[in-house]
Amino acid sequence: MSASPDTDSFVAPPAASPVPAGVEPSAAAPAEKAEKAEKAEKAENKPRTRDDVVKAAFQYRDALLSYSYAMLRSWTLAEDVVQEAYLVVMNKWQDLKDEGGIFLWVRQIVHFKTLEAIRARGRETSTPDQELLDLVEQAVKENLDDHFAERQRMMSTSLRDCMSRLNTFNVDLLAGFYWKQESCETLADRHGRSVNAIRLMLSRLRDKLRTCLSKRLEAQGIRP
Amino acid sequence: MNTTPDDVLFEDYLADRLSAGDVVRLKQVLSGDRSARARFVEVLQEWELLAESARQITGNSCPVMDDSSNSDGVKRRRPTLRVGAARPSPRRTLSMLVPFGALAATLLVALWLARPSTEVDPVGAIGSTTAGVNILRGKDSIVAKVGTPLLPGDHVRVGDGGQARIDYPDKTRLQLDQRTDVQLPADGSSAMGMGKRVTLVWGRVTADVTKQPAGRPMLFTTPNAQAMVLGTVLSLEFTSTASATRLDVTEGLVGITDSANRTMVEVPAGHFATVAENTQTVARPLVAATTAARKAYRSGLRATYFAGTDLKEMIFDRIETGIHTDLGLESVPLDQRRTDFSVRWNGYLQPLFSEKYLLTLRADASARLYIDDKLVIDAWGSERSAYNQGSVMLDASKRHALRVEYKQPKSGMMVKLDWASPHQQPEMIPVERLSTDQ
Repeated sequence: MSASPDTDSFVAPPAASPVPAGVEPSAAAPAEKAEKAEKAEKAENKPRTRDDVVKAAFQYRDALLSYSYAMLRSWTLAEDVVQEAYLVVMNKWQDLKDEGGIFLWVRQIVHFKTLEAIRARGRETSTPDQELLDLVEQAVKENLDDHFAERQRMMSTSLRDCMSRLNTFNVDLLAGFYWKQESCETLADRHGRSVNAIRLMLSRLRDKLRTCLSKRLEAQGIRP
Repeated sequence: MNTTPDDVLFEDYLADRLSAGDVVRLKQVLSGDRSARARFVEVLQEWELLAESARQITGNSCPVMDDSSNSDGVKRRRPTLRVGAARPSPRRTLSMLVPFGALAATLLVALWLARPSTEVDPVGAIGSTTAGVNILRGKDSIVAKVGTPLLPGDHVRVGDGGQARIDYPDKTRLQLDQRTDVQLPADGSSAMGMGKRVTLVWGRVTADVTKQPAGRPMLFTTPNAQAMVLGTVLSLEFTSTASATRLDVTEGLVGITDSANRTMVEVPAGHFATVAENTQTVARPLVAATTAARKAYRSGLRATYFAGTDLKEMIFDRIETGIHTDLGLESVPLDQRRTDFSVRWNGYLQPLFSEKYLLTLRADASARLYIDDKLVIDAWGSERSAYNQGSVMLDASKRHALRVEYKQPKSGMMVKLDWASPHQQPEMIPVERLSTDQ
């Protein structure tokens, strides 16, 4: 993993180029055309304020939390990391050069903050398997892009709606397993059920939620 | 998102429960083709969505873990701060401890005097409350009392039949209806230069917002919308079953944004707007009589119980959350001497959408339904369980008078009223859509 730069000097990466990889943009493009495009872009991108940038960044909270959690596997730490990243966004929002690249910019901040958290934790506990962490980092970097984040944002609203239809016991079971990271054995003890019963219940709940989510996404014209 | 064999491995990694052998296997899988890594991120995404959704719905704050082993014997990695002194070595002599203790005491006094303020400033306080109102703070549930301070991250949850008011220092007031859950931001957004923030998880809030400082509007967030307020009187509600947010504005101007497409609609005084799937959000005028959002009317319906089946000899009346009773063979707790009785529910119905609604009245005996004093469903005289349906055009800008009558000549009681529309799945009419006053 790369070394962490000073988080105060983050500079937003440019947005993905509209020109396909390997294709050089025409050098002979008339200056007038470029100027027009710039004007159109300016007209489309209204004047930005800190609130605009912060709000836009907040939209991707779920994806950013996933990114950090994948490497930390602690919601407490991942939430701290994302929170700290938002503080950087609030202080350095003017460094964002292109609003289209906001997710990648915040993801980069979250990335370095996550590495800082891993280092800080490493001083107190045993170091996790570095090779595995590198592979996980590669996986999230390859796949967790702005399209993925946008999709996660859309799924989040629908899933919360689906979950709000479950009874309290089922929601508590999901919160225990996924949020509090309790094992099936712990949940079985607490609820007076067998471990297999808890596994089965979790499996059925997941299937139920997947079905509900698919239906909702399809209704919105999104491929589940 | 169907489960594959590698998914179990991915999930064990995410749950921090991998054995040494699993670590080797996971490394092999992730270092393989790109599709395995893509699948890993899909599982991660589902994991995060389930965790975060469950957390939001249960109102859980961040889990706190310690170093103790869980039941599967896996050590948690999150360290905890240990408070208290380490066990003294028996070799230590008193003469060594005395100067050390004195130094430590001096240091502690110095640290105490120079300590940064760790107390969290309250965001506001409970201004008034009834029974059935709780404040969820982390894992604790505190019974709300007048004057109870509210801290960042607190949930205020109002149960059936309850009401509560949150007072801010600047005299902004939020009236919480029954079956409502609001959360105050955990991040102390005010301290970060942002305005007040409130998340309406479900239910209805009526807000009287004092003029807010320039550039720091008050922001209400629901699961599918945001309302930005500078200073006004409004009523905001989120109905989870229809995934809809409705905003009624009595004074001032409020901007409401659909979280899905980020389009903002300005809602001026005397107007309302609804944000829902497959619906264009527009500000529409409210019928004058229904603009009294400032008036904290009671949600629900007035139910009057009568002895006998002729709706004449009243025994008692009360406010109920809707028409959804199924007592089976039990008798209604009326006058014990008789089993025949009748009930009338009276109130107002305000739909989320202006469209044709299909109303379904299911009863085990005679029942009838009136909307705006017009008979919509008539099963009066029926003596067996039946579904009866009727259609009616409802207008979201007004409250429609609703009356249901039911009579039971024997015992037991089963009566249910549901609604459905092109934008709403069939459901029991939620309490926030019902009111006792116009």
